[in-house]
Amino acid sequence: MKKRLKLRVNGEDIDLFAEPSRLLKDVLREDLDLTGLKEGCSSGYCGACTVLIDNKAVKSCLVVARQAQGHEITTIEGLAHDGRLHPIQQAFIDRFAVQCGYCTSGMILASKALLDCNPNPTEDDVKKALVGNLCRCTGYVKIVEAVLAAADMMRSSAREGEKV
Amino acid sequence: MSKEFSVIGKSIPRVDARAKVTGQGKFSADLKIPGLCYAKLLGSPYPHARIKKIDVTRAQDLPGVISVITGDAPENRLYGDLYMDSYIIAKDTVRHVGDPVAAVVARSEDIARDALDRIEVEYEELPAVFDVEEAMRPDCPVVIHPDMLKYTRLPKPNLRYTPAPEGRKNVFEYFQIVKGDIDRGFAEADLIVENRYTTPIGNAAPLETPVMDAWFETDGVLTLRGKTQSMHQVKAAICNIFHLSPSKVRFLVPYVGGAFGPFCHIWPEIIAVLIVMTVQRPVRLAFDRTEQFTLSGQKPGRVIYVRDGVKRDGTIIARDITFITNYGAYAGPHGTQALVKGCTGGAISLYRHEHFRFRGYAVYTNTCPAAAFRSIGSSDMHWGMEQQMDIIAERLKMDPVELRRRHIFKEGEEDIVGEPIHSIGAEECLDTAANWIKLKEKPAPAPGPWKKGKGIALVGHWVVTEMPSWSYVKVHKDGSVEVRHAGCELGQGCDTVITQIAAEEFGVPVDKVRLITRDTDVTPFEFYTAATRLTYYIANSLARACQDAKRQIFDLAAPRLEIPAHELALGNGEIYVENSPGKRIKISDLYSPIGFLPVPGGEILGKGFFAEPAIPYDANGRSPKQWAAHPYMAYAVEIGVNTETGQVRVEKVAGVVDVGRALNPKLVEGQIEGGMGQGIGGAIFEELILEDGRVLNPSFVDFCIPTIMEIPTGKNVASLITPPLPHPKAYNGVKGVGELTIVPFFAAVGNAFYNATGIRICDLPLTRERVLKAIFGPQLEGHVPARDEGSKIASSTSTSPSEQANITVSMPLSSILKANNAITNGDG
Repeated sequence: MKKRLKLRVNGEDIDLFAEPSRLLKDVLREDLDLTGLKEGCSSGYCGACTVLIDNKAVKSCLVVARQAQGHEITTIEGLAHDGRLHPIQQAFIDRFAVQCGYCTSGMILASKALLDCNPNPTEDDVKKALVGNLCRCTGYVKIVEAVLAAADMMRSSAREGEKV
Repeated sequence: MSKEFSVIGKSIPRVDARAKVTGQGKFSADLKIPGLCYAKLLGSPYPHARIKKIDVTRAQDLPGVISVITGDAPENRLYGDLYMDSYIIAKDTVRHVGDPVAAVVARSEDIARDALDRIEVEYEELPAVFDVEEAMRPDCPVVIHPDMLKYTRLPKPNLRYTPAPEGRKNVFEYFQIVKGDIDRGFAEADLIVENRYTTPIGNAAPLETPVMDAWFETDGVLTLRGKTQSMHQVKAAICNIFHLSPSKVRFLVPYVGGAFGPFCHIWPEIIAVLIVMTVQRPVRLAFDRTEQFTLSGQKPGRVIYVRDGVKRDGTIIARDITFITNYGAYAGPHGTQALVKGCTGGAISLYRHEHFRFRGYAVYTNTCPAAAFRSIGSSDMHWGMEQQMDIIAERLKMDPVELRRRHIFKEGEEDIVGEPIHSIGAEECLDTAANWIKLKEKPAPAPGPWKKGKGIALVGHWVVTEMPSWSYVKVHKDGSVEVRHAGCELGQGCDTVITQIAAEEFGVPVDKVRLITRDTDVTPFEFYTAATRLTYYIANSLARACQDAKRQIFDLAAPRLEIPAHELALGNGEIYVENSPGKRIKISDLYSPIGFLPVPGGEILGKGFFAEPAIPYDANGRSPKQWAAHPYMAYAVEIGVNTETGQVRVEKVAGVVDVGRALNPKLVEGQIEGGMGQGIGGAIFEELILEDGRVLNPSFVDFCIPTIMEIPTGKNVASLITPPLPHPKAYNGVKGVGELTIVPFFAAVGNAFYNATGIRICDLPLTRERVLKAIFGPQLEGHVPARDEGSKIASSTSTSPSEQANITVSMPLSSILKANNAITNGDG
């Protein structure tokens, strides 16, 4: 039996009805058409379905949608504002960290979770933060470069912000 | 090549990057049409069995089930790429675990899955064969396709294959290349080095699993939408198999989440078509991760014997390769054309040998059918060939770089099969890689149980012939350019370089170029996006389409400017004359005030075609034209080996490519790094474990592809591109890159492993178990490494080559090992 479900997704409150066992991945992809998160293994290993819950990177194939009630969910669709890309998105473009794009939304969100709590990560920090996100195309080299470049960008815009 | 370019050769951002970083780019599973039903396949639990009875009643009765389709379906038929050897849904006989015996179509995927459990099938088990060398013996008691010689063979005029050679009933294709007199070569050799190498069954494992939707439009057009590397070829095959009009079939391709080979052919499209023709409703056939690992075409396992005859001065005068591929149960589903020949493109284009022989066997076994995977066997072949080079160098106390350098073909020289080759940057790749890793210096000592080693490998690769390309170009009134092409953007970046070429040819910024693609209805025919061919071919056909369009523009402008058409130039939407600033008009000036172009057709539409026909092989596999171009690559690696745990860690990598002109260097770097990533996976982790034909590790937990932790990054990686060399047909020197970047990786790691440990491992991958067995050999069961003068060879334990009915060598493994370690007079 479907039950009422209240989610907060990308800053918007959403009311819907869903089976109690329905996975967050399926609610987001199928009920809310947020198809930026991808399904790669449905068992928590590939990270293609990564979303942010209260700014932590979470694999949405391992979360029942009800568990996410009362929390702030962010998907890749919620990252750019007014057509302005988030610095991590921009860095992924500038550094050629995208190939097929299937892992990209998960990679970017997992990177955001890292940079939000560690604005000055080392190469090793980046690798540890992304260990749960598989990529089969890039060999990860440019992904690491992009995250470090985004950290740079975000630090300098934070400094700019302080000056103003 | 002093020509200045404004767009090509520059690392402009990917044209698809914004769509992908914002999550807006749609992949197959992201799109759904109303009324979609879901199909699931029931596979055989046995590797080889006769189907005695199928009862689908209980499945049919489950609410939500629309149809259960079995081998009796009227549209079920034999199909194949080279041989028609496979029914879409098995009829009478199943030949591998997972061989589809029924398809359920239901309102939801869950219902379809539940219904599978309610289908009752009675089987009579048959004896099965899994080991490829056992299967190829003439006396193998299991014959997988008793009717093989009666199957319809599709014409492949350029390929010269023989089925069932030497009475080997499970060998469906045999292909050979013979140069010189191989026996004389070995007789004249001072040293003979021979080894048996193996590579495992693997899987391309793209992040996106296969999704194929099929439906009929109201006008009766059969529409397919899903993941492929080859929309037009698949469409053509489907039209042939089901006798459909090409005007009634359409293939749409959303973004593709990685492909790497297995998506070149008609699987699983063929099943989706059978289902939609049967149920006449929109249907989705999607594989989950387990099915990707068990049902989509596998990277085949291979056994490679390499025997080299060497003169005292280091000249390898004779090289004899026997290349045995385990294709699994069918040649049909995944296409085998050129899979036996394909891998030879590297072996014949790099090193000079007076005597050479290649014998390739494609063998049926009762395992899941194989498909192409990045380099269609070349990485496997070079796993053997490039370790041989190091073994020979060590035996002769020569520098391994110098030994290789000495054998590299010179510009214009005839390759092994008799074709002159051009644009050979192999030596520069080799030297650059060796210098970067400082190959002559010992690695820094490692702490505790770790040992470090360095290794290098060099390869030649190929761009295929015989697969022409077509492009259309339309020029709009504002000077913007529309390109119609059917290359598949798989992540490699073809849409970006195609945009760059059109922008370069018309002298417009890249944002004035629009691509129309991903749809067979509006694009010209294109062969598959595979075999390192797309950039080479499409660059040439697109350049011709651009020239055709420009010619039309100049013909229209010439009378207006009163200048002969051939003196005109084009840039930024204007037609002008070099050095005459006053003489120019805009493309828009050619149009009537209300916006039409007063010519037949009313538009500027350029068409381009480019072909490289092959000259068929003679009986010895010789031909003056079989390959369009040869890119080259060297990897140099430094690895660490933990001698207590068996862990192998790749710590530093330099990948150096000669791809001709890099249209977009950052994209080429991305290919190198991606090849390195898959190379690390294949070298250390990736292996499908089969027990009686059943895959035991069909998940990312058990089939480990590298995570970010296994990859060297930052200053530990160098992706380097050598300067382009002239090539007679390549568009501005562009060759190709795709597959190339995995090919030398395995052997570079193998050589580094030897450098670190003094042990030569001949079987991939270098798992902890295999490494420990190699190190502690005698203490570990089932493993007998040979030992001598400080060099050990650990080879796999299956049948020695001599027992293989003389297919390869006349010496048992023990004497090969002896020969390997002593300069002989060529008689032992």
